[in-house]
Amino acid sequence: MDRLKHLLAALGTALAVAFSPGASAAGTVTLLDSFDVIDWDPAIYYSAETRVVLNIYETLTHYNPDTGEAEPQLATSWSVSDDGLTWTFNLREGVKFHDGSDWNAAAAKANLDRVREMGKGAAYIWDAVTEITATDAHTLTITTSYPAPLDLVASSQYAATMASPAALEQGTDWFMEGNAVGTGPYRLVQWEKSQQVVLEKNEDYWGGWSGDEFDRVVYRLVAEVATQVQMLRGGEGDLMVSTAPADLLHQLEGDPDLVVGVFNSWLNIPLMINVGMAPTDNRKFRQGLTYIMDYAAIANDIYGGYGSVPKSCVPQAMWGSGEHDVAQFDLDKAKMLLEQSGVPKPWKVTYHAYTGRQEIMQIAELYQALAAQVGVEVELLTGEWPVLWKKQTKQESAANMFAVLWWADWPTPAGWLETMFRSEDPIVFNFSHYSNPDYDVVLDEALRLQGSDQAMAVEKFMEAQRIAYDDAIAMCLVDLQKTILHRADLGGVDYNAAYETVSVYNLRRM
Amino acid sequence: MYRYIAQRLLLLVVTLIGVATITFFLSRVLPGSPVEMMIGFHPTAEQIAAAKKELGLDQPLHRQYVRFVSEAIRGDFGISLRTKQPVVEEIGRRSLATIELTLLTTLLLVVVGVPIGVISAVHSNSPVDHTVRTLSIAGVAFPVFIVGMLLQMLFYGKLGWLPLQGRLSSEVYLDHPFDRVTGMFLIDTLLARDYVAFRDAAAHIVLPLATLTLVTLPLVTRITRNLMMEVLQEDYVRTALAYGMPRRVVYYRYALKAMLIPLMTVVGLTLGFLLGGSVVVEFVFDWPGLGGYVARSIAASDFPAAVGVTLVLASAYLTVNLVVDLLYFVADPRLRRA
Repeated sequence: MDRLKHLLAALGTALAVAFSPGASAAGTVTLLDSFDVIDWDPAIYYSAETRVVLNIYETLTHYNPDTGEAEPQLATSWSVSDDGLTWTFNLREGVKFHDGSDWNAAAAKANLDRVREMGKGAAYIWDAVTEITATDAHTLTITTSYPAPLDLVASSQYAATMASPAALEQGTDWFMEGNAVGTGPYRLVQWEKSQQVVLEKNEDYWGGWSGDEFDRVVYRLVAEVATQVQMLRGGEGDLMVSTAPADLLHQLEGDPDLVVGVFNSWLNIPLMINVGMAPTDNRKFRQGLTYIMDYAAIANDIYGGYGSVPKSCVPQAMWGSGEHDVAQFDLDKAKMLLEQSGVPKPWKVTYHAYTGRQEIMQIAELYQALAAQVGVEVELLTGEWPVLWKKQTKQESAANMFAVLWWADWPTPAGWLETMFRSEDPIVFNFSHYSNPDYDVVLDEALRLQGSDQAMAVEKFMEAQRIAYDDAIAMCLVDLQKTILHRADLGGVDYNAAYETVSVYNLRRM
Repeated sequence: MYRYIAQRLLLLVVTLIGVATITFFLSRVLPGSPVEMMIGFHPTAEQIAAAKKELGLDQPLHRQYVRFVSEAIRGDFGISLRTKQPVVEEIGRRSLATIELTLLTTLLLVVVGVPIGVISAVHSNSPVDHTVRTLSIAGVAFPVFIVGMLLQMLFYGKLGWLPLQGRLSSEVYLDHPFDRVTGMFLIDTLLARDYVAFRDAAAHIVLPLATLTLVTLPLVTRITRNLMMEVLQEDYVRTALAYGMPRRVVYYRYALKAMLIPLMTVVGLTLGFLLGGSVVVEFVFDWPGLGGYVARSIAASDFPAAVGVTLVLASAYLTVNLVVDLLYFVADPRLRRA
């Protein structure tokens, strides 16, 4: 027994010496992520890869959420012809890719042509484009078949990033082995599948270095939020790029080592109401349903204050959303409208609630409880997101109601008003099965105007929304804020609603 | 005996074909199309149609099955829809991480669990026995994730002795590259004579290993105890003791031998269970093994991965059972003569 004790003690000491947890090495910042990169190909990636790759790649323009306009990045200036069909981008000179090759108009053309040809990921954002020409080394001309806001499209976090032409020639399979060659402040040095991604400073970055940036960036893949929090506390991690649930953030408020950054986002939750099946094919009945929800409770209780009561189904942080007279929580009014609808009792609706996000389920349960008070029975049907999505697109398997967490691919209200509300055949995201020619006409005008006359476009987007809200095809549940939990000694944490990432270039150790 | 082995191998192949067929049809029949999952969040209708064609999902079911079988025979399970990496490659990498963890666990079970069971049986109804039995019940009752997280809180949070998650530290991955000869880091780092990396790998495996051992140990201990209790009542044990043979010799040389066969069965089954059943431990400690892979693949309707992993796990389980059965012959001379 004694021998065993000695052995254990020796083993303990050996391991304790072998491993000493604590702060990351100087010059290294460790970001904790629960999502491993899936697609490395810049023409294909269409998910949370952005957290990593947007520190490697850059776009022609960069969206400024304060002004709602595009700003120079790899393009220094741009202009559009009077008819709105020809865009000329002047490219930044003296920029090099991580492989040493030059950034120029030929490279830009190669990237955009490839995206359009492959038609994967978010390639649709370039649908208006007819031709891309490298007019000279640093001038790129793009012609479109109808006026489109190409300066905003070019700022997209998907399908608009620029990779080295040599890398593009290697093809998708090469990218998928974990390769990335961009112009950004950091270059990829290691991808250890399902364990970590490591970036290192690009010494030749055109934006320059002040000296206190981080040299090395480690994205450590940690599945459990609870584990991530422990790593932050232990100093082994600096920042959580995946979002922590609100109740956890509140528990951590008293911790002096940790800070919760709160930022505007384009995340929101529309609750779509199916106009194609009884009893929600009755407009009055739908209107009645929209007054049943306690919107303030969603923002303040379910999202713990990291959300606000919306004034439109397009997030308020997005341009063109506008303030609308959307439904408030009013059970009496709901009851009155339901009675007026003439729908025979008993009132019963089905509701798709997908699993994997506790808030989506809590909202569904809240609605179910409130609806019972006005005599509406809500049958909750649960399942995985892909399953319910598929079911909702076909009327024979759809539910009356479906709440989905939503965002836009590039800075435009069309991410909601076109993708979710416009007539569609076959249905992909029009979960209301809404088809109103009046709405489509106004929306199409707005879409055409957004390239040439943003002020007019906003008016049309407002008008389109009025039609949709009047038809009660959706309830605007909540505008969400992005929360980023990080250590207090990490400075420069910022978030731009257009980009699902944290820019490491701006981070500093304080 | 050879005839027996041949029979068993034939049975193994038949079982695998059955498993493959069932999983294939289940994955196609169950609701939820994997296509949408594969091509991102906002695909267009054309992209969905194109992806279906690419996956051959537009073909009739029997054609899909023929294609699946012909590819599977060549060892090609396709590309995972979720991770977009070749399924075979990923299973290869992950199964070695799993094997490293489960083999060590099994070793600990035999080295620690069996003696504890024997001691508990020999001293039945003594304080030692009561302690072992209480702890066993507690061990069975505690959910795996609680045990794992408690260990994390203690050894990482409070004491700071051991790392929290992963197979290696970030710095070691970066600055201590070593050849992945076997895919088992403890062996690979030793082969590369990189002792810093070895110690790091060892430190990282301690907590997941301890968790898995703690939750499976009670089973082995209790079964050993019960088997031992039965053997101790046999006449020949009483006789041996009456002749004044040393207790240690009686217990460990004769009694233990008599219960080898049921014990091997239990250990074999436990190993088979651990190969696919360490899902929770893999999640808690971010151990990149098979369990987490299969769980996530199923949740995402990633059928190439799910079918591939199911087949691999089924073959592993069957192989372990076969090996255990063959070990009976080694352990029991009477069977060899039969």
